[in-house]
Amino acid sequence: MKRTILSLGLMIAAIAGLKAQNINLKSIDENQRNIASLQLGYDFGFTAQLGYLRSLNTFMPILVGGDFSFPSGKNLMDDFKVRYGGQIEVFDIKGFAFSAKVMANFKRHQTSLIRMISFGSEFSAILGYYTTSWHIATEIGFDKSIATQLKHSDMMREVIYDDVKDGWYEGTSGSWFYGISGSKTFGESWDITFRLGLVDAEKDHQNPLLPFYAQLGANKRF
Amino acid sequence: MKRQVLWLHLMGLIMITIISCESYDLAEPDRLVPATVDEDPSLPSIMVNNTMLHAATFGDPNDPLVVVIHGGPGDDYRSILNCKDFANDGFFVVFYDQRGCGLSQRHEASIYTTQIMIDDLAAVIDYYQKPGQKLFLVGHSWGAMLAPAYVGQNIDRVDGMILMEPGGLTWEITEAYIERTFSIELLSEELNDLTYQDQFISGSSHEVLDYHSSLFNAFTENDSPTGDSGITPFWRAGAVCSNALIEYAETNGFDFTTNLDQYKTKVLFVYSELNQAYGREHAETVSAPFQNIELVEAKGTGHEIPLNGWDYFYPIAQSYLNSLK
Repeated sequence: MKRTILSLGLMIAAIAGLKAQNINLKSIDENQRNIASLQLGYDFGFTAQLGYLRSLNTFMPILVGGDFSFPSGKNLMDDFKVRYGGQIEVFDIKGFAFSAKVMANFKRHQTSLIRMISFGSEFSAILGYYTTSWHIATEIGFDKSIATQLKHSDMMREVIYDDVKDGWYEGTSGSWFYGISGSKTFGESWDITFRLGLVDAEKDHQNPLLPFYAQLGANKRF
Repeated sequence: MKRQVLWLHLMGLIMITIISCESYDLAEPDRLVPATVDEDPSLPSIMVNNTMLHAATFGDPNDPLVVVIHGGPGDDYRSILNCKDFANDGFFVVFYDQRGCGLSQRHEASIYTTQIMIDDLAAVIDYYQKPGQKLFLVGHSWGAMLAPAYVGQNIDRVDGMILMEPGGLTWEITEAYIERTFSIELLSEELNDLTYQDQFISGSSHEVLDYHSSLFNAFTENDSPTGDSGITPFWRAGAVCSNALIEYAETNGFDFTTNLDQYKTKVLFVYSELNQAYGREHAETVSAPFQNIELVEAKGTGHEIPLNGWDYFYPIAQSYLNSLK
């Protein structure tokens, strides 16, 4: 329970700022503080992700925003993920910059056997080399499902376990992720971006069926 | 900023509400998966070969013995319970959940080999068979692979055998069959049913792994190359057993055809009409090591013959068993 409360506290703290996507902080200027993004790729399913973020006029670079993603398939809205949080640049030395990203998330998943909804948090550290027209970075992070509600269908009870218990379950999943990301600027306001990495379940937990993520996308600054 | 403060309060309220509700641990026994025989003494069980197996019998113990062997690896005998009807034909019918499957005792992954599963079958037979009592094996899928493996090591003990769609009797043939049974489109709902849940649930205990594996079965609800639609009933997935045996086979291979050319009794070999991954050609390939074989196509069913093709299969199996009784 202590771990849950700690994670909860960190997640709530994350809501003070909102989550940024794969952004080149150096490409943002005074006249282009808003960024809209579209990412396509694999993230526990083949997903489309729409995002928005804004650069705050503070003493150090801070981005706040959120995104909404959903996997492909015939039932588009039965699975989705909403994330919101922020990214802050901790230091920048001659183009080498370190930033920290925190976000909260809300996820939903439904099959013929179950409906799950989950509140969680995500933290990552990003170290990279940034210019005004491109960047390349490495990232490491941790994603935790803090509280998940499981609601089983009649079919689950009929064909598998008739006494299965619905309810809220604590700390149902956690995974590390590590990989690389980058971007290239085109024209005055467009960036093409990518993220690529591996997912590793926490402790000795079984890894995901497809333990990787890969995204290609575009950002529009305005 | 006001909006963010509002969000902060709203999310805080939601989380406080959630935490104040009663919440549970995924690994808590009996909540998401049923207890196993070593956890629930009220379940019928036998202790053999250093493991406790969930087992049930039907009929007169003095009648000829029929041991029914379920598929998988990792499934259980719930979906093949129709075979208890053989008890009405004068047979003593035995079902058991294999080690680490269904409601049988769980073990660590390192214990699983193909030989230990054959040894467990031998131990179950030894447990129930009386001196002079005839023995018949009825195997489905993976169970129909274990049955010939046992026969190869005990050539004079088995008086008849019904095999329903064994994947193969060598790893190479089995692997090719498995690949044909698994068809999924990259952008499909079925892929989401398999992969999206991984960000909600993870674990290392048998309870969590078995539960997680159970949820994968939503993927099987839709039409598949095996000709089955709908989720096949089971009590509890045997996740560790299933993964460990597949890994063992990938690493070590297997060959269950040894000595089968010495088995002279007719074998009833049944394949299904609707399993597109099987068919007569594969049935002929798999059954080739036997000297005396009767190939039968079960009409109107896919791979789950004992469940979905029982009305067609039963009289054929009944006739076969009675002819050797």
